[in-house]
Amino acid sequence: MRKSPSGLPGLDRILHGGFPSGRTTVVIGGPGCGKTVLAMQFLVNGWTQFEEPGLMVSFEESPASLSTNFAEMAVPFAEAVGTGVLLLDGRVPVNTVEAGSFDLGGLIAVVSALVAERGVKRIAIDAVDALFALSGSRFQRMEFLRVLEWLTESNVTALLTVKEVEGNQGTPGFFGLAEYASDGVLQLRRRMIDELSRRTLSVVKMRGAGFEAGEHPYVISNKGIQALHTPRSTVALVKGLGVRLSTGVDRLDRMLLGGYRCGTTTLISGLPGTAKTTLGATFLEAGCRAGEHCLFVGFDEPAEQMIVDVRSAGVDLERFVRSGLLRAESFAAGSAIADEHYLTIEALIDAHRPTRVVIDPITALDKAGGLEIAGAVVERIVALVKARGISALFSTVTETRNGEVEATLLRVSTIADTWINLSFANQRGERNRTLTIVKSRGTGHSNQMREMLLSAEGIDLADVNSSNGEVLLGTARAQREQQDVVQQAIAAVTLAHKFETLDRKGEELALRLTEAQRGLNQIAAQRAELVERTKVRGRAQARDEVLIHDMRRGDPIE
Amino acid sequence: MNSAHEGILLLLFVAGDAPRTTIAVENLRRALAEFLDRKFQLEIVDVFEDAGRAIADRVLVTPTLLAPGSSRRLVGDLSETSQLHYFLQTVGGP
Repeated sequence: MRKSPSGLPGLDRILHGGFPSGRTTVVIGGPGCGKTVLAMQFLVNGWTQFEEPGLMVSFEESPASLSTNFAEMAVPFAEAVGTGVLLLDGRVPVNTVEAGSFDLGGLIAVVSALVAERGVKRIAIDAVDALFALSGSRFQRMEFLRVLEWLTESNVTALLTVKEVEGNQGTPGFFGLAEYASDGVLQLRRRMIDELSRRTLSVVKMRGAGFEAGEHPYVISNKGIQALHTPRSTVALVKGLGVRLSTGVDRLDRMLLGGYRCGTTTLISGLPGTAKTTLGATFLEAGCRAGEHCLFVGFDEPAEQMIVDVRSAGVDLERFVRSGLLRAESFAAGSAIADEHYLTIEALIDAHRPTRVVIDPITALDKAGGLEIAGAVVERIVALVKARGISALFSTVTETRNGEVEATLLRVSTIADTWINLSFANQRGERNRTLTIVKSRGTGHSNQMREMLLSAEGIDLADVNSSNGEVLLGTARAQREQQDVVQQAIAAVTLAHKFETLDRKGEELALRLTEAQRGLNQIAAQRAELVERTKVRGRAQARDEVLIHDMRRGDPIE
Repeated sequence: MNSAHEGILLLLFVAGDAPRTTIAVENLRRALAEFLDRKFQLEIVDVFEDAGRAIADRVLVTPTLLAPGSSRRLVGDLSETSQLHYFLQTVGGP
């Protein structure tokens, strides 16, 4: 089926290209849903983008009031009206009195003539129900059907807006009638959440044409109707997934085997004051230093304040704001519904084309319509940055010490590729910052807690002292480290002393050994002398005995 | 279908020869016959014949009865005769 695009990107995606051409789509919605804006944009874009002449029959607003309302908006209303879009005042003139049954023959005649005369391709009939305020429901059904029938025959693409009054869904009014008698029904809804308007649209039916089912959030801004058209999840092929981006902290880069992976999403969770913003700012500074475009989106704290704050931690973002590499914007989270914040972030990304984005804190979005809407918006943001190949870092503020539970509420932790938790450890009268990598997809990472040190030179990490099964931080860690040094020194000295003592003893013994040997040698020498002496004396004695025998003339010796 | 008399102009916008057209024309003629002073001049405009006049006079519902120069107008087949008489008296003046 041929489609007539509305020229509104989100809506056209939901309608698979646009409204069915040559058919009539009934747009139903309560007050403040933007029915008139939608109808008008359909015509204005039809002319300015697709050169299709249009006709607006307005039963509620005068052409003058339409002009005034659209003058405030970034919609080429004035350009279209008077050239290709004709406004017809359908309001019932004052002093009109009903005197019997009537029909819409006049409308059909007038519109037919204009279609023929001007080659009108698109028609919007706005608030046709206002006409029937004149009468009861007697003619409503029949005349409504007659108009629908005529529009179908005239082969123009038409939008017929009908006001949905509270409680009229059950009564046989336009709502039920529109549902069965028309080819297409688009339902607009608006409800109040935390004093904010949340608007959603859904296709009730669209005969013979495809569309995205379900309720789609949209906002009305100065650009008119903007439906959120990025899907809530996407399987995007990330370019350069192997590339590592510096976190801005050397030690953290090493812990993550080089940094965050390009095109992935990182969650920084932590209590207030754990330096989440500083870690995010460090990431941006590293990107700007590498000449990359970066975007900071802050909630509930002015971006200027953030820049001043992180300067004390050695992070200088101001020069990059001046050079245009960094764009830093901040918003009050509760000032608009989360859907609107999404569109703002999308517009910023489209305008600045960053490779790195920090949203701080992303949990602020739950002030913009509650957790459910915030969760859906966060999913859309993740899908958006993934689709654009942007490396993103989101901070989440945890209100309790149980950071893991709190962060899971926004579902970010499951979507994020890397999750870093920052915390405090209270020990011996000190609060010390800690950093733990909870998860990091596709990266072998250190499971050890690190102490995070902030100084005027920026962020640094220190190994925690975990001797004796106790994790020590801050002064305790420093003390323990010093103690260890002293003890090691003492041990070294003691050991050297022992060696020395032994060596001395050895030398002494060796000396004594030499002396003893010398003594032994002397003794042996003396003995040998004695032996010699004894031999000599023996021989002399024997000779003397022979002489004496001979002199005595004794018996012969045996 | 123009009346031959001079007088206050009445414009009755109708949509072709629909049943409501016939009823409205009859109701109006009957009422005018009661105003024997003949101070009205009736013109019947078929919106399908002359859409330009319908646009000019902002007539989107039919039948519509109006008197140029007066902001009053009646819509419907004029079967509510009291409304019709009141209208004729008002635009007809004293």
